[in-house]
Amino acid sequence: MFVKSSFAITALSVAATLFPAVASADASDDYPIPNRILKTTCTVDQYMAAVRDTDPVYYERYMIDYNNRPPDIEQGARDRIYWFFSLDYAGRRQYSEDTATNVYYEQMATHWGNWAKLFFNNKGVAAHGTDVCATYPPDDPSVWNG
Amino acid sequence: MQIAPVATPRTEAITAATTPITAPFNAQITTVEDVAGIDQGSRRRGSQTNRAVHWLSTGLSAQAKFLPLVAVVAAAVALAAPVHADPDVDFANELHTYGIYGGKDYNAWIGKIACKRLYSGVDQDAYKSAAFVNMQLQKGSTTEQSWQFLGAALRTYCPDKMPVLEAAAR
Repeated sequence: MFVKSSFAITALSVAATLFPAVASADASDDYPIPNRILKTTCTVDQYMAAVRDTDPVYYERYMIDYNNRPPDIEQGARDRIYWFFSLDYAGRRQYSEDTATNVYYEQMATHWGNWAKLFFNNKGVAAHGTDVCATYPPDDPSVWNG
Repeated sequence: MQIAPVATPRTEAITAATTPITAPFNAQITTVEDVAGIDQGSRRRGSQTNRAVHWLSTGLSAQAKFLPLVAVVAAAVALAAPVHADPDVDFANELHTYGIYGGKDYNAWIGKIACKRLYSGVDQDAYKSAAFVNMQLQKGSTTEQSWQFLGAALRTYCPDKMPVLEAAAR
């Protein structure tokens, strides 16, 4: 009996090793990072100022979360999102792929799980923000004071 | 529980019967206080607080002194009147009179954020605030409703910012 079930488990393990791709999530042009964020030409400051107006409660929640982090994590999150926005479309799309296929790819997320929530987690918020972000000043660090 | 200042014919009759005719206006206020039972009692019998302090300063042990005080505080906490327990409810009720509905918590949060934006300088005047509020209200909301919302929000959550609204009215 024991030998029999051992065989079964081994067979399952072999199958799992042979077909690993079955359960893995692939990135799409809209997941995990919304298409609007992949394509926007706005700066981080422009986008945040826009969301502060278009989805103030969402912005407020993010800033409360941000303000509850230690200073080094806050700085890390800021640096990381500015880095992401410095990428072109292809770079952002690749990053989206990397984070979708490897949960450990984004080190920032191990320190603060929702570090980019304002940018990546809600297509509606991303759409409202990117609709109008170009009308805001490109450089406005006060968006982090919320 | 608020007592309406306007006297109905019935209460007027009672007031007239129990008070001197020379001071009917004062007499009516006294009647209201009698019903409320707060100030009137302390004025007649001397301040309860003063008497308690005097009693505490007599020769009892510290523990014996403070036990009743603890009991009084506990009673005050347990029997705290639920009047104005939640300003968000009052705010929502006022919004309803302007025909503004939607989530109570959502509207309250927008009101508080409108205050915060005035404090932080994101909105420099009431026009900017009203424009911000208008963006958050349901589509089809009028400009008038935005200003009504803003007025209610400032009154409820940041009365010290009311001058901003008054400056826009001039």
